[in-house]
Amino acid sequence: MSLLTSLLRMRAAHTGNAQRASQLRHLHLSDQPLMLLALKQTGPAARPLAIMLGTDPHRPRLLVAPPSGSTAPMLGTLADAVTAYIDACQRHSEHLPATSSKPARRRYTDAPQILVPNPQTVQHLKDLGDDLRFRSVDDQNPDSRAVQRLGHWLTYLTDRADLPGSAALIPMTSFLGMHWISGQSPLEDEDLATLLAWIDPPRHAASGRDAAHTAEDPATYRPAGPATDAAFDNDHLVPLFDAYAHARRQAQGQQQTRTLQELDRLLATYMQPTWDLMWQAYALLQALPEAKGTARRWDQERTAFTDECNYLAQDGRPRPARDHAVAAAVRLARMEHAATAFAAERAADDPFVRAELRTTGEAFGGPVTTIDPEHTLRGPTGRAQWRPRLTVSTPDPVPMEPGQLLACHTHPNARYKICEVTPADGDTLVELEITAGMGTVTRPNHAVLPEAGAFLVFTIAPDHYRMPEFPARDQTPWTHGGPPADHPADSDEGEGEEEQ
Amino acid sequence: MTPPHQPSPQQRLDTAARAILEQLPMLTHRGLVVDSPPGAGKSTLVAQAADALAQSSAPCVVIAQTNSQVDHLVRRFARHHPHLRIARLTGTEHTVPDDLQVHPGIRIGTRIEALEKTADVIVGTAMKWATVTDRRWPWAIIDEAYQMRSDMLLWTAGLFDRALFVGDPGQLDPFSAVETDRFQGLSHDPMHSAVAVLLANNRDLPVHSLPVSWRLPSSAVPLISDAFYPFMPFHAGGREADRTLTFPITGMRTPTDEVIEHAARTGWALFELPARITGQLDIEAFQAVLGIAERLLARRAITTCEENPEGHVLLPGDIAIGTAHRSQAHHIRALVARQYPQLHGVTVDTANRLQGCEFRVTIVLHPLSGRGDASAFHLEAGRLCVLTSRHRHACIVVARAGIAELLDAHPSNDPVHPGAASKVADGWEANHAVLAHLAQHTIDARAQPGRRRG
Repeated sequence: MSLLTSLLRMRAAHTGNAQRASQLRHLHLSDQPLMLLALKQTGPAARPLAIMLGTDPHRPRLLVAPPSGSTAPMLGTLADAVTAYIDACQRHSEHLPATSSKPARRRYTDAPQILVPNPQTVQHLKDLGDDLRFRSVDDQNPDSRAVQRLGHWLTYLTDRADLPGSAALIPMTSFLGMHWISGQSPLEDEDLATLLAWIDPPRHAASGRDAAHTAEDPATYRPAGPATDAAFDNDHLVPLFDAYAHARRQAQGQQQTRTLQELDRLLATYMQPTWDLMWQAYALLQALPEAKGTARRWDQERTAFTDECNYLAQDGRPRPARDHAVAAAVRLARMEHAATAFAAERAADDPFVRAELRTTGEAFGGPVTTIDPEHTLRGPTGRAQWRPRLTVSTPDPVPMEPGQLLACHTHPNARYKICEVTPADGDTLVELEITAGMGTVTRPNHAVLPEAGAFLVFTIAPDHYRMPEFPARDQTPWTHGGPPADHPADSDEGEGEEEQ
Repeated sequence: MTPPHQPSPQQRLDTAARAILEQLPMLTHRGLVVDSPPGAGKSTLVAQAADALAQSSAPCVVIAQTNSQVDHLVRRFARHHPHLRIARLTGTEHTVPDDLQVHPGIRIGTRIEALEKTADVIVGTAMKWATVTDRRWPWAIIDEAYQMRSDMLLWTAGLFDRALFVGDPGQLDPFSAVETDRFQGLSHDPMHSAVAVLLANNRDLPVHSLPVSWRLPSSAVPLISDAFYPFMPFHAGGREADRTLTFPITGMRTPTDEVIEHAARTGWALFELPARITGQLDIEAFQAVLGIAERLLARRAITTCEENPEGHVLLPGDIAIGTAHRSQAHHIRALVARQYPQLHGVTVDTANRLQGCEFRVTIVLHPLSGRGDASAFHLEAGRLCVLTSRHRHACIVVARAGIAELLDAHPSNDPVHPGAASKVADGWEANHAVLAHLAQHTIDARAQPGRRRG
């Protein structure tokens, strides 16, 4: 937690109301997200109990797995529902002209977006995906292919959720936590009901804190899943489960159906409050203006989705249970790149983020005192290079060294190099040289030169990123155990043994 | 035949280095790993090995991790192996130091095409080597291989058939700013060091170790060896009598004077400030650190060692101040600039940046000083190891009281993952070992003149 978030948290605790941490929304919100709540049965690792999903706030769809016996029919229905939603995203596509590195291609104009209440649900879906995508496909049973495909999509979506800035699968509590800071602990923030009470208390509540207290009342409180409440298990589920098991043993079909209907009703009332909270949170977030970088990230989301659809059409083998050497390195590089890009774009878009960086020493701000627009220096080849210089006077501490490259929110493509940091009385004078974004002597871009007195905030520029060329999978070098076994699905054992 | 007497450190090192150099040309394995404790002549070995491997028609590729490491290696090649034609492969954004630019034996280039034909040894950072494609050389030497992340090795492993990996296993492990739990347990975890992954996938590779530290004084070796290198014991190169630190000027019997005198006698001292939770910026501790450096210089400390038997007056450049956080180093540097002009030239930096450096005296701000908790970052064994193993004569630690209690209140409870294990010692245990040793060298900052605790 940075100094600024700690301060806001204390202020929220003091005033009893959540504090804004940003005026802008940094993740794309679809007009038709798929809201999904999941409950799992206490005990088994990933046995679903119920899933409530849908794109219409007034008509949630509830799928309940029977207390015992096969979950296949329920999973089949779930697979159909999710696949129908994903297929709907593939209805329209746009043409992308060829670039220097990529041929012309088509890209879907939409991509799936699934909203779940909390990070635990993401983990549950990941477990479910790991279970389902390796299920064998039985030609007699059309459901089995759909279920395997559901496993594939769940793995794709939960993998995307690991990437900072991705909007394919978003846990609502983390989303809200990006924009508001409540007066409770970060651990308590993982609970949707209390977090939302802090942020958007009902009209009759005196404050967010009071509303959170009310929301915690055990008589009315409903956890957002995937784990159920122990008291709910004991008092409500166990009698129904017992009745179901009894009816099953006696082969009383009617009794079984009746018990299942009762279970449906019970779970529908149990999950309805969380369902409503999800849509309340959605409305809150949708009201926020979107930050500039959001659109670019959603474009990437659509590219990734299109790539995945192509992979499914052309290859379609399930992703391996564990990444092999090259895939793991590629994934880590992607994650790191996504994290730095997301951080840099947020800093460029959002004054709140820049303020926070100023408290951690990753940014400084102040008025421009002098500008030397004519400054040039001799390059290594002897040609004159135009490098305008400016000096900024800042009250912030500047723990950076000369040579550090900086970015500025006014011209995201320009780069500034620190030439000298001089502590003056009270303030610090930082002399900067513009190294990119100003054009050349013959074709200068004067817009990048600030006016004297303009207040600018400079943040550390993200490293110039080039995705390194990794060896192909079958070219995995001996240092990493050589090429893995042929089929990704059975690469579990034997990996790393080739060289010996 | 066994020699009748105990072999001297020089003999031991020679035997170890010769064994490695002799094994290299006829190696049947594809790689060889050399573990080296701090200051054990790693760079010398790299230079000699490159010399030996460059005899054949193809150049020897040398891969280091940072530009300063590469410049340092190039300088060493030029000085000690002048007959080699050396090439420095560099990125466009790095400016190679002037003394290397004007050196006639060194060619500098940003593209491999310009260098590969005329060089015996080509040196560059791993990041730069990763941009080289479609080439393969018979041999590569990878320096500081424990600082290299294994995904970086994946980019560069296609460049060579065989490789010599040299590194210090006790230093800081590579890190990433993103969540990397999903890779835990993989034998090719991209977050592990290059050597860890290499050995996990090639269990039969020969592993050698250099047995002697030339840098550390004999007072420091038992502690550093036990606490941070439990699997790789080593010895001190210098004899105790050769390393001295004396003060021709009498002190004022203040706690600060007492702490430097104690460190001069024993090689270690802990300057203990009263217990207090201060967060990262502890001005009192910063002033204590700078006060110690100031007294060392004001009393014109004289050091003698094997290289300077006649004595050397301690200069600001011989002293380093080590911290855990960048903000701390920045603050101390700012204090030096404003209030301590006589300390201009003292190195102030974080553990990460001090890796591989050597100084006569180091003053360390303990990573756990003034903290209310002990996180994995502050407990990391490599961090404390780097900070306490940079010195040739003495190491003075400055800390708030109560670290032992803090450690006991925060036992390391990180989940244990099966699979490739790092060679680094457990941070919690290493911290306790260092602290237990320092307890005998504690000077209370509040003590009345002439009275000492412990």
